[in-house]
Amino acid sequence: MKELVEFIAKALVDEPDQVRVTAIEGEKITVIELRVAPSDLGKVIGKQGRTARSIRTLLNATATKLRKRAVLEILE
Amino acid sequence: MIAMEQTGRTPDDAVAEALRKLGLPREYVLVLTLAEGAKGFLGFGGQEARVRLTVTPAGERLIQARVTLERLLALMGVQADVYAEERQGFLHLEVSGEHAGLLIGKYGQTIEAVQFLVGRILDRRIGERIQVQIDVEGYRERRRQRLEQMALRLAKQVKATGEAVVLEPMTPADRRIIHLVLQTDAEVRTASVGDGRERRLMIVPEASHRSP
Repeated sequence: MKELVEFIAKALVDEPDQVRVTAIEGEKITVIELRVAPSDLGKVIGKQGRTARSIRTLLNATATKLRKRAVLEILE
Repeated sequence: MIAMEQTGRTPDDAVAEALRKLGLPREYVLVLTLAEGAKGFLGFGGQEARVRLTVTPAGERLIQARVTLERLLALMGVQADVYAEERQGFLHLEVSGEHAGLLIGKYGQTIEAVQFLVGRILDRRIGERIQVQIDVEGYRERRRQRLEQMALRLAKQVKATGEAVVLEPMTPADRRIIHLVLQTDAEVRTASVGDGRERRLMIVPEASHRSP
């Protein structure tokens, strides 16, 4: 799940070296934290949040397959 | 520029094998025959044919699209094959394999998200706006048929009651299917209302045709 978010984020931003993804595994929920360069924030969020929403949809499908739950947090 | 060399029994064999590895139809490569190959005698003294394939820019886009989607699917834990082709004005990517249901998602939301993200990634990698369509196990065609049937049913209802019907919010592609199927019906008219994700299609009775 972490790798999925990392792949998408790096493919969308201008500064892939500054993409940081960490996974915090809870008992029931995994929190995936995504950090990008401030100038790239808009690229991972998208118009009206569409990019972020799409990433979350893929993350949910992936987590479901693993019988887990995951949430994506995009940090400034 | 992507180029590869391949050997085979004959130049044709070598080209076929190289195309299989690239996953491309013949029209996306330029072929240079480096060695014609020669038949030996009883398996001795033969020489293999050797060809060099150069992928055209259009072919490179297809490879780029296929590889991007394959990587994304692998990261989602989905084992699938991707076939890419150019269609009228867009790239069509066909996914076949297991987990079709997971990939389509509720109301097709997962496949729409995959399509959106792959489109975005390819825009950046290729440097131009590219329209991408992704299909899984014939999903798009089934969806089109279902939407057309629904549109025809609702049009009938609108004509019978003389009252307009507003549909659920839909993607532009889905709305387009309904606009098109009702275009030839003079007794109803279609329109879209609302913005963005909330945009809905409306089927309206045509006043001049309303029964007295």
